[in-house]
Amino acid sequence: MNRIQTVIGEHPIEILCDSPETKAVCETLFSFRQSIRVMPELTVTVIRGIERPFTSYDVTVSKRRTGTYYERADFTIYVDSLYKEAFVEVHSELALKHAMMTLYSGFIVETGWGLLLHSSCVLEKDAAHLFTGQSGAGKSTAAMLSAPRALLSDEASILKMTESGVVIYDSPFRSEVDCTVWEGSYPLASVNVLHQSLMNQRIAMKQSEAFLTLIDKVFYWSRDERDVKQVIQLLQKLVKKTDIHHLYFKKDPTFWEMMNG
Amino acid sequence: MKRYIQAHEQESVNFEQEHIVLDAQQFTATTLNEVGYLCWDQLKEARSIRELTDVITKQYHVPDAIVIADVTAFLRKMMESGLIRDAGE
Repeated sequence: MNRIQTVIGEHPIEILCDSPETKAVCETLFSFRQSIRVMPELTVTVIRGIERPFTSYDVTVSKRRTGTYYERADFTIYVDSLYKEAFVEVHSELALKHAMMTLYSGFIVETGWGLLLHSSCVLEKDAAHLFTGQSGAGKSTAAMLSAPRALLSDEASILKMTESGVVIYDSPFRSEVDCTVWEGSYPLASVNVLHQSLMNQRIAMKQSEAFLTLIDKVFYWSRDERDVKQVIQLLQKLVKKTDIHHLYFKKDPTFWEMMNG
Repeated sequence: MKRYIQAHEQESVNFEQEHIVLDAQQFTATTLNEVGYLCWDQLKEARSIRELTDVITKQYHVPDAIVIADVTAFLRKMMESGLIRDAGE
């Protein structure tokens, strides 16, 4: 079988592809970390076969006794009730990428481990700084301007909520595939909600405002009451344990002077 | 005496001096200050304007007339938002 063994976050995951071509696409799309562990926490079977192309980003989630179904025009996911085994059927590379992000996001929320957040993330002196905001706010720009600092994500950041704080893991879900993967986890020092501006300014946000700002940045689709409660609790932990700021930045690297100050 | 009650089960998230009520049915988020949250919390059971006013004046030592006006306005807004409903007499 065409198999990929990897670790996403701290979860060993096995991906079984229906063909060498699908495996090659997986390896191109995702910056996977190698895993030598034998027992995966989640096994994902990937099949290319859906005929319908992409029409909308909306995903319908149905919870049944045996498991959960995620459905979009161009992909379907079935994962069992324990989130041990998943079957992903996709139309295209885009569908495959989004399906894997949707599945992993559901997995980490279901287990109460953490969240997948629309953001880029940069390392500065072994501490992680997240950049988020509305579409077009500058997440990718901020990441690019942060070079040569290490990039943990440029699109979707992996956050683990711990008792002592939030830590970030390298994310395989990238818009630009980067061959550099970063092992381990890094403490989250700040979350920065981006605004492009003529001058640099960084303003601390109230926790309530931060919560409302970040709630639509979470990759999550289920409307199930229990799931929504779980996301709310995880997001509340993030907001309470992390400094969150509005970051008004000129399109140059000088905003880092405020980040380090 | 007219009474009001939370319309359905909702989640609340508490931060510093603000509270957010999340309505999963309507997909809305409503921010409440300390006093608003105190009223909201009381409305887990059917309460009248008088009963809510008594709770607030006891806690904050504010003149009755002011509190009644504020509570009335608060309940009207919460009704318009679909977060509370008429619980009958």
